[in-house]
Amino acid sequence: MDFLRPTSLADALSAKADQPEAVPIAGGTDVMVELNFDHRRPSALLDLTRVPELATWEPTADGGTRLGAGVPYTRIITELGARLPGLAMAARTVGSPQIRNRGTVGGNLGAASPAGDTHPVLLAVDAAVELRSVRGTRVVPVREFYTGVKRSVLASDELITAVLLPRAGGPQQFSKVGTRNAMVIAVCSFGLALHPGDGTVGTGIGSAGPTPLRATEAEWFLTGELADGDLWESPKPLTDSVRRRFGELVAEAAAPIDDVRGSAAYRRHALSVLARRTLGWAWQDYRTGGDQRCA
Amino acid sequence: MTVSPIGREIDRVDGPLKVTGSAPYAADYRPEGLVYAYLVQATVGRGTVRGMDVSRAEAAPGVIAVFTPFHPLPLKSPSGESGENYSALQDTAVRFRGQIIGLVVADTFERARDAAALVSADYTVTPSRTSLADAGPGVPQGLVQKLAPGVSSIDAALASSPVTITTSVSQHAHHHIAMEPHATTAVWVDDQLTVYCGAQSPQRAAATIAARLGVEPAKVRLICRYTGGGFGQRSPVWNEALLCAAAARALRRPVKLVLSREQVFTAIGHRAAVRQTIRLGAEADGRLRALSHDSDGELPAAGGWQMMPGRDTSAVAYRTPNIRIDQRLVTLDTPPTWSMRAPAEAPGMFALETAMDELAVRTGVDPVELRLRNYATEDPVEGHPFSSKYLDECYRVGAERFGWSRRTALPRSQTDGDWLIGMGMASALYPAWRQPASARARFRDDGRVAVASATSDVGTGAFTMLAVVGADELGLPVSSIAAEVGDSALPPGGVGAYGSSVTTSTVPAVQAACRAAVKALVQSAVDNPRSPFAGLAPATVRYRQGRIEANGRSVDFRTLLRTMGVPHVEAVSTSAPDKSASQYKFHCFGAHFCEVRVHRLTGEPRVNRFTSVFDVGRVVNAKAARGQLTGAIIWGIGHALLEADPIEPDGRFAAASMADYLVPVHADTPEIDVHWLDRPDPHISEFGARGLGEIGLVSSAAAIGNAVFNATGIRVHDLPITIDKLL
Ligand SMILES: Cc1cc2nc3c(=O)[nH]c(=O)nc-3n(C[C@H](O)[C@H](O)[C@H](O)COP(=O)(O)OP(=O)(O)OC[C@H]3O[C@@H](n4cnc5c(N)ncnc54)[C@H](O)[C@@H]3O)c2cc1C
Repeated sequence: MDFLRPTSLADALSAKADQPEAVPIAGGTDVMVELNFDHRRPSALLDLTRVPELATWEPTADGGTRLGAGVPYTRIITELGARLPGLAMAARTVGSPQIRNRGTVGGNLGAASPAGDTHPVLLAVDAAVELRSVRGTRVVPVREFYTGVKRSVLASDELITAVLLPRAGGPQQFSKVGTRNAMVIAVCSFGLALHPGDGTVGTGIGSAGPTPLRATEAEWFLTGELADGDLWESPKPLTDSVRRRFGELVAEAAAPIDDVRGSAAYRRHALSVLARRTLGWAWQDYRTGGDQRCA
Repeated sequence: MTVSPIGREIDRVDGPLKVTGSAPYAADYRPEGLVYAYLVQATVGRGTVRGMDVSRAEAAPGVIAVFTPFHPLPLKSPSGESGENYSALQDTAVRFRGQIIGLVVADTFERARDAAALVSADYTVTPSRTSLADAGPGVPQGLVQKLAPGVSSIDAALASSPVTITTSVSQHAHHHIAMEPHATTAVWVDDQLTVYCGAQSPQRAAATIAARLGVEPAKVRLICRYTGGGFGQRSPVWNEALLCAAAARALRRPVKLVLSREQVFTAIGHRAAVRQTIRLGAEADGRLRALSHDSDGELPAAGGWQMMPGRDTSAVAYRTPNIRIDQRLVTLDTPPTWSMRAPAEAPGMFALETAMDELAVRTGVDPVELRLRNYATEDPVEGHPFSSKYLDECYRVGAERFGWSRRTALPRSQTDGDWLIGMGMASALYPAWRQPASARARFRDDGRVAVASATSDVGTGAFTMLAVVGADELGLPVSSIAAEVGDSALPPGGVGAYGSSVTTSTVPAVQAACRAAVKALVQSAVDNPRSPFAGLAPATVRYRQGRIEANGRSVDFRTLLRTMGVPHVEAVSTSAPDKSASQYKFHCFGAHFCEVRVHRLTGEPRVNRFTSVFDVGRVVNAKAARGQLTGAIIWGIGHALLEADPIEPDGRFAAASMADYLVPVHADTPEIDVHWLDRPDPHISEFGARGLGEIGLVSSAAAIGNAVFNATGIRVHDLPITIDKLL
């Protein structure tokens, strides 16, 4: 097995072009598990940890954030809690301190597991994924990124270089149900973002379908309710019926299965609870302009 | 004046070595010429290996040998030793999925592992029996029954009781998950074998290895100075270690075999799956008239430990005129079973204490009061009095510390936002067991005293126990004692680290050895012509805090030994229980109280706090005791809420890795308030320690289950108590 250690993005991209079968390794928290279990035996590993371009984040001109694919969760939590509240909440729930020191959003996207914790937030905030190869750069909305179980639009000569996240114009939330309090794969998870600027809302569902999912009907419903009641302008508490309907629509958008962690029926039920819960918190924050609350 | 260290908070003497990585474990030994082995395991649940293709493995770089049933390593069949009932590679039968069918040896670990993946096998497959429910009822294993005069049967006693409760509970296989995966380094020098391998009983393990290799017992030495957890899993010798030693013999070079974490799940025994039914008959005020405990335990065709959860629990716990314990075993084609911390008592008491809680609910009697109404002062079946029992005090002190009076009996009556709050309790018991044990005490001319016993410190604190007891007996600081365990070459008669018996059994032996060594030191002081005490009558010479004194002279033992030109003076002593002990029933007791929260909408169960009070006799080291008791209670959280490895119809464990087999993590573990009564047991030994490695696990799961019921009104009978069962 070759171990390629490029020290610049240009070298990394040309290595990937030369050897498309080389498996990128960032934090290695997914890759090393697969190697240890002999689930794959790649002919080459492409180590991305020495590529400086992947390890930084910066503000974008429109007030958003360009997050390098290789920035570990620990830094997202300590440096980006205010800029990227939803993503930071999700990052706090990943694995353990050791995993958060190593694991990256680029790796979460590369693995594209439906249970990955960042996906619901990336969907809810309408993030985009920056993909590069020697052929050039393309930016794919995250909503079009996932194509199947652990599959994505990433081409064999491409690397994920960054995630582009719009400015957080309103409250964001993430909530997860797990079988224990840490080191746990989500039974189901939900991300929510309120966008007061254009009067819309965004959602993301994790661990309840072949890919991370959006609850489009729920988004439309809530967008309509908020507009009809002129609630963005004069924010009153949401009625129970609105919250309940929102929860039902989120549950309907899921496509869960039964597995050892939980039944499909449980997942649907819990998603409706998570949706109501996160909406309650986010709307409360919007009304009071208060601090973001922990999921 | 040295203050006695007994019962104080003493740091473990091996702690600095362990945290600096300088304590060698079995896989850390690197003898000259070492080669590495890796297992090949069967991938079908039951059948026969028709043939194996080893050509690719043999051709792989660095490969030295590939052993299979078609090119075996010679091993004798087991004859009465505990563990599996066959020797690996001696036949082509596949008894369970994960059985060892090959061993690849190469010049590096990675090459051995790589080549092992290149071995392929053809099987004839027969259907596996894997379901306890489908295969039962099992074969009865000896009934325990006591009926009051005139009562014809337990059923009659139950039928005539004003209140009856029937509770059936079940649990899947559990795994020990010792921190150190199983590892063996085997070194032959001529016909003498040294095996570095974690073991709960170094001398028994060495004897087993000798027997299975067909060599004289004296030819095998087993060293397990540091062992990363046992929990029962390291009391027998498993096939992997035997094959490693046999490969080293065949290849005439040292061989190391380290199992992967996943291999440990199948190659090493697990706690048997078990289904139990408790039937209680009681008066309207909760007093028991009849108790029936039936169980069906998994017994693998490959052999293993017999799951008998009723005998040491329901036959001991409460006063009742009619008892019947019917324990059955069901043969399945599963990986071997083995005892696991509180092996029968944890599942057995989960069943009984769940049923007792149901009886409390039915009769409206407070759970603590219900247990007091049924308090046993003697063994309910055999009639022996308990040697020392202060369980009533445990209830009282525990209820007080916990704030039990704040509990409301009605489920779902306490909330905190969206969380339902519940409180539950359960009582615990575990047999105390003193075995004959021996120890050696050796005054050395470096000024320290070596105290040794051929037991094992599986992380429990045995090293420190020897040091504390030796220091106390000899009037020396703990740092002056060099404790030694974990070597079969120590004097014969070390006890195994199981049954919570090491402290109970070894403390009296250490005391006796220290006294005998003092005598020997005095004797040599009067006998040795170079000694300042030469020629004195021994009775006029006394030992005090490391010094020999007579006629106004006082010399420390280091100076004395050097003056005499003697490097050390030692004594070995054996200590066994008194004959009078047979009149008593020896048990440890405890009471658990816990508070849980269950989310009203998502059903997530979490433990908020835990208080447990124990009656375990005299405690040697408060710090080690708290560690053992707290750790065991955390196991109870796993037992109640997380741990399960269901077996699939094809014989595959569904959760044979630490990603799938969930144990509690820090974030699941609340503050645990552990307290013990200071009540030395007057009959078990002069010292009065009863052992406490396992009792914390007994009934802690039941306390959680009972609290979950109090929170939700839902009684979960099939463990673990997971989210979807609480909606
Ligand atoms: C004990 C443990 C606990 C965990 N807990 C959680 C959890 O709670 N939540 C969760 O979501 N995940 C969890 N994970 C999974 C894992 O930590 C995350 O998916 C993490 O985000 C992976 O990041 P990484 O940098 O380590 O990825 P790697 O392991 O380095 O890579 C993962 C995949 O992405 C590809 N890849 C990585 N970087 C790039 C890139 N720049 N361009 C193209 N492809 C790339 C790799 O080739 C590989 O296929 C856990 C893992 C472990 C071992």
